[in-house]
Amino acid sequence: MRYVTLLGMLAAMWAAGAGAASALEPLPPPNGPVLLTITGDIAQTNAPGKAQFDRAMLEALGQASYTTSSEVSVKPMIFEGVPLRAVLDRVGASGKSMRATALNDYQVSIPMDDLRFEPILAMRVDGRTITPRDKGPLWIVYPRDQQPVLKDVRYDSRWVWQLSRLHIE
Amino acid sequence: MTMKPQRPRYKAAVVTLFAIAFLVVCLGFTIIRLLDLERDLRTDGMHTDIWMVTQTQFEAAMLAEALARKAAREEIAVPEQDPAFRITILISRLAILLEGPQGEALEGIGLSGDLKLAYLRLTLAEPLLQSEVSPQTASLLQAEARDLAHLLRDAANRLLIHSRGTAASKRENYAHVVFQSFAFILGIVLSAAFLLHRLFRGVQEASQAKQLLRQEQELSDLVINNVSNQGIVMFDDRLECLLWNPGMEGLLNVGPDQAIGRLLQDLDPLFSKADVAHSLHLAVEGTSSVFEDVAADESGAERCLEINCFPVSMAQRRLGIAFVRDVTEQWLARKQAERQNFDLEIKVLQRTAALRQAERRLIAAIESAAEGFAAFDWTGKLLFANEQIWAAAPVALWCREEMSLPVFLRCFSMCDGADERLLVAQPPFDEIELDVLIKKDVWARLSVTKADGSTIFVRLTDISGYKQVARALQSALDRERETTNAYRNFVSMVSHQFRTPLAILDSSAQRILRRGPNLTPEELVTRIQKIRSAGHRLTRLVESVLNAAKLDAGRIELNPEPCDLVHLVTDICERQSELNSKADIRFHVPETPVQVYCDIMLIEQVVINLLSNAVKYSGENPTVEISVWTDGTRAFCSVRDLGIGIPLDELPKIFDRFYRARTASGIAGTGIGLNFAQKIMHLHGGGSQVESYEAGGSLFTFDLPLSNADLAQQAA
Repeated sequence: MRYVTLLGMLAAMWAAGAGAASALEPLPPPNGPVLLTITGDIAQTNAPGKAQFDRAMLEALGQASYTTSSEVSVKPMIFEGVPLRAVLDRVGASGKSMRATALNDYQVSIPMDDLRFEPILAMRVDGRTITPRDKGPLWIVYPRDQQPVLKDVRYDSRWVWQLSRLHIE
Repeated sequence: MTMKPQRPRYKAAVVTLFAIAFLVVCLGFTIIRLLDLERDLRTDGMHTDIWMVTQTQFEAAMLAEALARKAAREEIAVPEQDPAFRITILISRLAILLEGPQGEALEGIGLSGDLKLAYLRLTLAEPLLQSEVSPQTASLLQAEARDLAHLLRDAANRLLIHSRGTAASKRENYAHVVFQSFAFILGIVLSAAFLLHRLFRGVQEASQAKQLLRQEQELSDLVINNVSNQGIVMFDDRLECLLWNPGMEGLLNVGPDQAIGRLLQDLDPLFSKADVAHSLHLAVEGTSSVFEDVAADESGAERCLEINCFPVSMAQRRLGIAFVRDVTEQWLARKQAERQNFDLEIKVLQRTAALRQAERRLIAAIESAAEGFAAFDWTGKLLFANEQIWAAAPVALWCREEMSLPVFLRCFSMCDGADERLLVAQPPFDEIELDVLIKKDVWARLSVTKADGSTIFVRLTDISGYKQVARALQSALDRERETTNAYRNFVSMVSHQFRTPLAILDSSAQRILRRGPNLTPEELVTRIQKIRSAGHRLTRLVESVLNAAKLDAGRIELNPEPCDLVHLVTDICERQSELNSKADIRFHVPETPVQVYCDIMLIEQVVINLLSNAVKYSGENPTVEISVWTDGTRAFCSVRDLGIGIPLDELPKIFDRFYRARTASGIAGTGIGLNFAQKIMHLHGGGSQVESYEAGGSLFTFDLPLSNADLAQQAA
């Protein structure tokens, strides 16, 4: 598990590096269905006032995974996806916090500080691609089992599933 | 110090350990309880569950609204308001209620069955909504979505009520934990107080101990420095001097200030000796030793030092201590004593040799003695026995090996003359003296004597010669006694039996003389008859006495000839009946003759004697029974009467010469008849027996061998 985490971190760093390198590049428009829309205080956009990502664009930003339990499952599950930091770097987000919104309009404010836990936007759980039916297509995942401080209801409410929008403030 | 406080100290250590353990346990429990509480507070299952349910309820309501718009054929422009999108969100919400912690909570209040059913129906309806849906279907689905919303509202209500109950019990649990923690804190305070107390005490004790140690140190220094008659030296493994007391100075003339810090070998030649140095090294290694060292001092006089070496452990260093003492005086005294002892031993050896020689001489004397001699100790163990003892017949036969006094005496127990004392002899033995026949014609006197209470001597003296002479004397004496007895009986018989006829003779003669011519012829005849009868009686008496004498002298000759015993007996009886008509004589005789071979005259005398006795001792009306019979090769004749009988105690003597039974007093007789009859029967090779009961009568039986002719006839 530790090995996987390390891989995830490395991938995140690489992605961050790539993100920084490509931060100046203009964001191409999405080709497939839009999974994530980022608005607010961002540098890069590919639509008026917002940055839109399809699956291929997100997957191109890097890979990370955690094996951890969650509020909805005591049994640890394998979460795979994109490091959140890589996505925010790609759009040149600069702010104190972000407001995450789910498909059912659930909203929660996540401080930028949380990036130190390296949360990911999971797209696969236990090797299966998740859909809106099962908390997809994106799920913010913290390494809850790896860092004891994350075993707290405050953090549990930041595990936004069916994530569709991020608004940087 | 002393060993005494060791036990309480051990106990105190255990108590302290226990207190620490108690403290740790209390602390541990308190922390665990508080951590439990903290974990409990971190999760807020109740709120999450209700929130999840209301979210789902909202989605159900949203779906119902979207479907209502669809049923009203309204165009929906925003994709988020389309039933197809809303049903997906609703299904994902419902899925969360059916799994994980929420699933368990709803299972607990018994609603998961209905929710599962709703989930299934929604899953089935989902594909319908992906394509265009008819208003009728939409309104049907709308009703279901509304029902689901109602169901979820109820679920939220029930969860709230249920969770309030749970919260109440949790609060109770918190209160409990607080009390427990309080108790544990009390425990912590108590054990900490105890530990502090112990620590304080420990510090106090340590300072006391230090003070005591210092006092002891001072005391031992005082003792070491003031012991003047004994040198004390302490050294390390290189034999460097660490302590040198004034006693050492007195012995070796080296002061403490010169000695301390220098090697012992350099201080005095005593410590350079190989064995002394070895002992000192041994002491450092942990082995005690004591030895003496003799050396000549400067003036040439010999001096003896006793050196005791002991191991000492001080401040974790292995050291040695030696105590040196001048023992010259004792040593000289001991040497003197050893010399005297040696002289004494030589003297003892000389005396022992002399004693041995005396002992050998004594044994030689005993060995050459004619009588047997043996010595045993008080337990009966053999000390010595000479050849004569070993050669004695019972010893040689029965007990050559393992000879002890009881065994030895038992050897003699089967000899003539022995008694049971020989069988039961046990320590302590009694003195015994008796004569035993140790083999044919050899008598010996066995005497067991005790000397000075411990040694037992046994002597075996041959007394055969003495015994022979004694026996000869004894038989002469017996014969003499018999003769005297016979003489006495004879005199008594004569005085009784001869006196009566003599008195009759005398009185008849006196009467004739006194009456003279006045005597009538009839009376004269009567008197003369009486005189004759008395004369006959005297003659018979004399005859029988003479017969007896003849018999004694062996002058009766036996003239045997064949005769019929039946005839002989009946003939005699007929004659007897003529003499005494009152007698009733009965016969039991065989009809055939019984031929015997005998002297008829003598056998007649026997039968007459028995018959006349039977009549004489039967009173007024005598009844006599005579029987004759044969048995095997012998003929028997018996005479029975029913008269006065013979007392039982006199039966064995009834055949003795001149002996008369006491029942026969007053009846004339000589005591010769039965004796004579028995002797005649003996001459014939036959016997005579008697059976009798006092006042019941007597039965006399004699037997004779059948003649050959009669035997032949019987056989035929």
